[in-house]
Amino acid sequence: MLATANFLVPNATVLVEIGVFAAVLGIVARFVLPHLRAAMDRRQEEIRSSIETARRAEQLLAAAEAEYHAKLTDARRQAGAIIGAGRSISDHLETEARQRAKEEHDRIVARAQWDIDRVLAVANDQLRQEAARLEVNARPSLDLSGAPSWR
Amino acid sequence: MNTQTLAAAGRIDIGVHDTITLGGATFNTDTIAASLVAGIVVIGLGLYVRLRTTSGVPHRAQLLFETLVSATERQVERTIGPTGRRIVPLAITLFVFILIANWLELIPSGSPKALPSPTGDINLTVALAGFVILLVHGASLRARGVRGYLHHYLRPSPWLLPINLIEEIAKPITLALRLFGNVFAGTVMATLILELFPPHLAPLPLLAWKLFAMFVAVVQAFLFALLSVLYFETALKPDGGPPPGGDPDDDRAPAGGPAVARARDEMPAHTVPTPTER
Repeated sequence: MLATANFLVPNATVLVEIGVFAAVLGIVARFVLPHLRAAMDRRQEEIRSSIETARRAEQLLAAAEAEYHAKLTDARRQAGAIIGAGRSISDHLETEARQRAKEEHDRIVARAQWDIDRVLAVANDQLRQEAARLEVNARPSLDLSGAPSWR
Repeated sequence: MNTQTLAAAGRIDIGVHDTITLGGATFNTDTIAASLVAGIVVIGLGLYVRLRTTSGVPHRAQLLFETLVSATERQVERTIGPTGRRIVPLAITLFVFILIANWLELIPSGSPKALPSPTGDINLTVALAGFVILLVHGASLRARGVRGYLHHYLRPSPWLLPINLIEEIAKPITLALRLFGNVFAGTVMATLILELFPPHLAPLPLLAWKLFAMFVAVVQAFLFALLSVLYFETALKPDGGPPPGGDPDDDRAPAGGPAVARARDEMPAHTVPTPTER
């Protein structure tokens, strides 16, 4: 059953409703959205500044890394030089030690040879004298014509 | 129609409002009360968001509003430019207010008439559409001047004056009737379900219908706000446009679908400066 007045025809309620909506719009536009907009802008700004900070930190990191690599290369170079110098010193010392050892060896060998020669000479002399003494002692009592002579 | 349907039809009253008459003017008190409730809910929601607004991690209500704000801003800035920012509060308030108003009726209250959707009364939708269209024409007047505004009705050819006039008249009417029709039909459907189904069977179809109506409510609120923005776009954007023949500047589509599609198609065209600036 339809209402007595046609419900498709607006009545004075329209005016009230315009007022209601205008009031809602006014409050939302005046008190809510600017606040929200400011918060969004602030967040945007915070994000921007933290991105900026991150970029600066990245640059610092890159610089520090470059410095680290430069120092590392330098240290490697220095270490190489030190090792080289040490090796040459050790080579030198080794050669010297070898030289000294050889000299000592030669000296000891020469000394030993000299001792051996001397002992041999003394032994020869003694043997010769012993032989001579034996020969003198044996000559009167023994005919040694058939025996092999010492000489 | 069987007898039950007829009996039900006899019991269903549609379009009936509680009224008072003051000085010969009739006021629908139920609609006014419901729209006040919707308005208070919107304002309360807004003030709640304002109280808890943070530039840190936003809570849900703030996130919802922020999403609305940034989506609307993107839409208007792409087509109107920075001056379009002025209409963002209007679009957002329209969307939220209409959405809450549409949803009011879906709150289980025993009867569709306990807290009716004020958007189911043509008075509210006419008020909203009229409000928007007045602002649109005002903005157009301000942007183009009186001469430019009047000349706009003769574009692209003076022969099209009647069509342009019809279009401008159709805009608020379609805007108001589309919203009213959808919500009103929802109310009628809910009433019919309650009347036609036996009481122990009614809840199931009623639930299904209300779920669908919730979705329709969102679509209608969105459509109203979007169309309002589009009307502002046609009113505010520069009047130049491409040379005669293919003039996409003229918005001759009165209703939702074509206008939306047209606006989408137009978007790239307005990112390049128009050669014939008036």
